[in-house]
Amino acid sequence: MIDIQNITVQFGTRTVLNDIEIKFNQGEMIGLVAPNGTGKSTLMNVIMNYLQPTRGKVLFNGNLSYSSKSNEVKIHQFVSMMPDQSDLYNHLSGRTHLKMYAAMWKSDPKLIDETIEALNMGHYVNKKTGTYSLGMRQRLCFAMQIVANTDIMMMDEVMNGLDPNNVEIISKILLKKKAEGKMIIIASHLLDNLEKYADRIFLFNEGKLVNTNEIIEGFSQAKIKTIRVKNMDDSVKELLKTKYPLIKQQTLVTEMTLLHLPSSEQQLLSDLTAFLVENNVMDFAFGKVTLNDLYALYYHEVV
Amino acid sequence: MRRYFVFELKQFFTSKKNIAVFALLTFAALFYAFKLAPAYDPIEKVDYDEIEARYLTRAEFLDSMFGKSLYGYHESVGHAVSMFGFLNPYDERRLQALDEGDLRKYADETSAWYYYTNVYTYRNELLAYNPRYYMEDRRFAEEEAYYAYFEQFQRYDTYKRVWYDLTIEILEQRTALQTLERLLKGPLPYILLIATLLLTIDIVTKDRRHPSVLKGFPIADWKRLLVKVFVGLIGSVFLWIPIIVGLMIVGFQFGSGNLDLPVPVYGYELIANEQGKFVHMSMGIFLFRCFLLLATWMVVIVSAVLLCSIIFRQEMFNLLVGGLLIFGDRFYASRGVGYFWNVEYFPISYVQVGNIVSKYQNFYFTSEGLHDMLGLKLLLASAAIILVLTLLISLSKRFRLIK
Repeated sequence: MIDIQNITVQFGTRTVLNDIEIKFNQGEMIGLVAPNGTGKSTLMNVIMNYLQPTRGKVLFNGNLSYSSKSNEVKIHQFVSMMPDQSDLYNHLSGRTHLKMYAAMWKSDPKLIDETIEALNMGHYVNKKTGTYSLGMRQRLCFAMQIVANTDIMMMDEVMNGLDPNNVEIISKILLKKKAEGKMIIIASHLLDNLEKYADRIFLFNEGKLVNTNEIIEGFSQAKIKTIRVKNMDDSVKELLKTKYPLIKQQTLVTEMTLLHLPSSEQQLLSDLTAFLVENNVMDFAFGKVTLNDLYALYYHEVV
Repeated sequence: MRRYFVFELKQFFTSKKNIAVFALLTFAALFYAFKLAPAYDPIEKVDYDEIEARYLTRAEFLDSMFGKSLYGYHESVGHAVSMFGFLNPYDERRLQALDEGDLRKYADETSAWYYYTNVYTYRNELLAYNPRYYMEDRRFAEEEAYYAYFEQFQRYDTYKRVWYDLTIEILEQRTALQTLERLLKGPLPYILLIATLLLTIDIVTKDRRHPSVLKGFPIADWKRLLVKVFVGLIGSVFLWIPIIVGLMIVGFQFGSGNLDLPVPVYGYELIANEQGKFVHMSMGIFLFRCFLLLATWMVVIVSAVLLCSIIFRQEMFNLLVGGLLIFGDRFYASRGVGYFWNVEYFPISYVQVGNIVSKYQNFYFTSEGLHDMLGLKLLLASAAIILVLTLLISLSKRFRLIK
């Protein structure tokens, strides 16, 4: 378990993390979402003690903190962060990297071959990493952390440069790790994917972590609360406003209009469907606000 | 820690820069073995023609003066008659020994010849040593020749009593072990220390190129640094492989020599009683003491690189500090300076390990105090201080090995 206690990080006069207080539990997949430069990596660096916070501390398993060098070594035995693909050793093979990580964290060597197979890396893993494409390097970095097999795994932009197939493969592996009781913290811009697999998702706002459920009640619950309409005419919007004044409308920069329903009553849903069809609106879907929508809403990308 | 050690070792030996250092050293060793060693032309060699020419000239002179009164001649003629009359029989017996192939007898006569020739020649305006001593850049040619003749005397004096068969190669110091002895008294210590510096110069700073891969390793910074010291030292030991290969090639050409071969050691303390200025030690002891000193030097270089790496974090500083350690004595090294300064207390006075163990440096600096054991203590103390400082810095909570 990670207990983040009043963490503040300031660079000069700029406060990147502002008095953050939160707990993450084992067996949880945590998603961190924010525009670039708003503190995701900083938070991970604080958790790894790569960066010392201006105030506050991080507790692991109730009592272990970065109070000494020896504690740092103890913590790093069960906390790891995915390496950056640009930091790989170009003259060493992928397999050598995997062996290195398995050896440093004393994990089961069988994991190496299992991970290679799971990630379809067999055809290139014995070649030098200098010959790899971005996607291949990214998969290797992910594999390195998987073979380290620590209880807490942090990944910054793990899906970068990956094709949809590999995104799915990695997601499945992450779910498996979560099922094994690992805590996985992911910072990502692949919002659909994150929404699909993360247990809790946090946005960053002025240095604070904000749970998506606090922004929109029941965000993580599968209830029909919204109708998402693409390219809705202003005249239809006006008509809707007149006919259904309790329905709140929001139009995002993506030309997506969200119709927030006051309830999920069958009659209301049926009436609305009829209304939209009558007004020649065909491209709409019932559901809930997606993380993409939320991201646009929260970071003020609203028309 | 063992796993990190293996990882560091693998990086060390797969680094392109380090491979280049080993390749260059191998090339240099092979070039030396095939080209330079066979072309070695010592000033003091077994030269039948030279001995014969000198012998015949002097014999002719002695014959011409035989029975004559020296009255009316310049006083130097009297000196010449006396000296040639004393020395020429030695040359005669040396030639006989060579004719008979009796090198032990040759050694016996030659040791005496060097001793007495030196006594006659040193600071004698009428006589000179071998002209090759008087080269342009040798202001102290007379001193050097004086030293070399006594050294030869000691060497040949020992050859009279040795158990092994003598060869011309042994007498001319061409065997593999004697080649190593010569190299240790010459450029080899510099070459090996520079190579050590080049091998280890980025042993810490290279990690900056892979921060996210390495930073999270569950191993303390001080342990990483200690591992790097060991890896650097192991790498330095491997520098001997090309040297050994080169020496084996020399051995195939001129014989390997043996560990009982004599190495003359300047006996500074013996000057007062004029009983001869040299003693000798066996080749085995000489090489052991040289290796000990050189190995300690390598520890100093690697430790210094580590300390500079964590303080300055710039390879250029490592190069600068390493260079100062290796070549620092050039700032004060001059003949006789030991008479004014206590050069024996400067660790950097002990770089030329072969000359330290054979005590040539005592002769050069005019210093009684220079001794390889003192050098060893000073260098070990320096290495210990540098390492303790490095570890103390690495234990600081604010310290980050990889930023």
